Amino acid sequence: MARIVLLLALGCAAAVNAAEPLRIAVAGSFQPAMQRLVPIFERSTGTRVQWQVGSSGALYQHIRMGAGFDLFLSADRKRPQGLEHDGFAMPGSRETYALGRLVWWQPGRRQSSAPDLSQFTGRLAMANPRLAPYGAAAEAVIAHLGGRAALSREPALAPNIAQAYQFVASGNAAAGLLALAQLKAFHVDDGVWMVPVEWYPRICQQSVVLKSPRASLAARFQRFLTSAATRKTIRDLGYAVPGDGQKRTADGC
Amino acid sequence: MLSPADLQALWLTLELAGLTTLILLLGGTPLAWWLAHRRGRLAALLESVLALPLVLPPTVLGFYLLLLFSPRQGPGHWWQALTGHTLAFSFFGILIASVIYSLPFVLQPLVTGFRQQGVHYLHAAATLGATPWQRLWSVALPMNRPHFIMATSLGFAHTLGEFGVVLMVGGSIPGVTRVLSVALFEHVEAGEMIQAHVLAGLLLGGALGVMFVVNSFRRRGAHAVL
Repeated sequence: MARIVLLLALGCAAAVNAAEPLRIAVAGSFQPAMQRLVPIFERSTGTRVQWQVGSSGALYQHIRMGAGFDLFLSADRKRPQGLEHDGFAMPGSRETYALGRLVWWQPGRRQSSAPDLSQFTGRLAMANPRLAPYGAAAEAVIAHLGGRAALSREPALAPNIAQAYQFVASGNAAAGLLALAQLKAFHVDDGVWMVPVEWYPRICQQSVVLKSPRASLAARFQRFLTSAATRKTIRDLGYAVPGDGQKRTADGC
Repeated sequence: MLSPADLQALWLTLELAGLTTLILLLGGTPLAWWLAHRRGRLAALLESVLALPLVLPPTVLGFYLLLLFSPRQGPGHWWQALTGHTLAFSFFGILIASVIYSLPFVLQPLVTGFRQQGVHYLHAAATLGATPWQRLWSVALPMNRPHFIMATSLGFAHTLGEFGVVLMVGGSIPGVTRVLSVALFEHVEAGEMIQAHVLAGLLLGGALGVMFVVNSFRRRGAHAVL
């Protein structure tokens, strides 16, 4: 009996919420991908999606303060883990939707080989390793290439990867350790060198379903993200996807 | 309480705010004098342009500065040819940014002061045989003391809290461009709430202290007039 009452209550709640859009918090770096993916999802399901872009750190704080999102697409794995651990997300709902790929972008440089840090005299731009997974990856790449001591100038740290791109694109920094997805989004291929994936910790971009009445709808978007067609789109945009030849853990990372 | 990195950010911030205020007082005083006594469209237009940092989002300013600092063209190019360094990611770069950003906070009180004062006292001093220098040092500046205190404190306090512009052109380099507000932002983003509280408290206390000084002077000034 109690179960039936509960089902009825849930059913009513679902009916009330049916007209409301699915609310997704999206890490800034995934914005170009969302612009392509959301209309496809909306067309195929008839669900309206409202998505908001921010830094993973800021969105994480907002979710903890009760910002009312149904799904969180983070640029890292740590924050979805934190939300799951602290009871803000549905247990076991974390999934890796994309693996970030790092590039060395030095406009005007021939792109055939790894850069030699001791020969590089300009300013290197990267995301802050303390704040962004791409920054932590960049730090690992620097370590692999001889460490910060090999750099003649301190790297310029941007709060996020978008701003690190600006530093290089505006000509203020000579090179940057950036995301492949950014350069694809801006159609840049001059001076782009793919950093071998073994040189940096994996950049697992995870989604997690948040505790909300529309959790099942959020899970549906998650399934959409891992469908074959979407995975192809995500790959085309400059990411790897789980299963692309890399070993993976239970959460796809 | 403060980590060495944050302590470094604190000193850097005080240095930046102090230098910015000094430059603005030296350059802003003659500029304010000129603006206060000049009529016409050109002066009005210039005054509006100089007040822009009051209303422009810091990101707009930061974006334009990033383009201006670029070694590909213009000022950024000349600077690099001259010094071998870029303006972005340097202390001098964020000093330029701070001077622009805090300019109206120093300029406005001074213009107001000079305007209110008018020229009568100066004319009177001149008839008594005071040289232009004496008129400036012995009449104009002392009479505007409250406005100078206001300009100094606002310029200093505003630079202390400067964030968006430095974040965009600074590159968070320890001891060079990682100022207190940037350090605070990084602590918050990294979830280091205790350190964030310490820095936020420092900035709050500093700002409150400055405003208290300003208001004490203003209240005293008001009583003196009465």
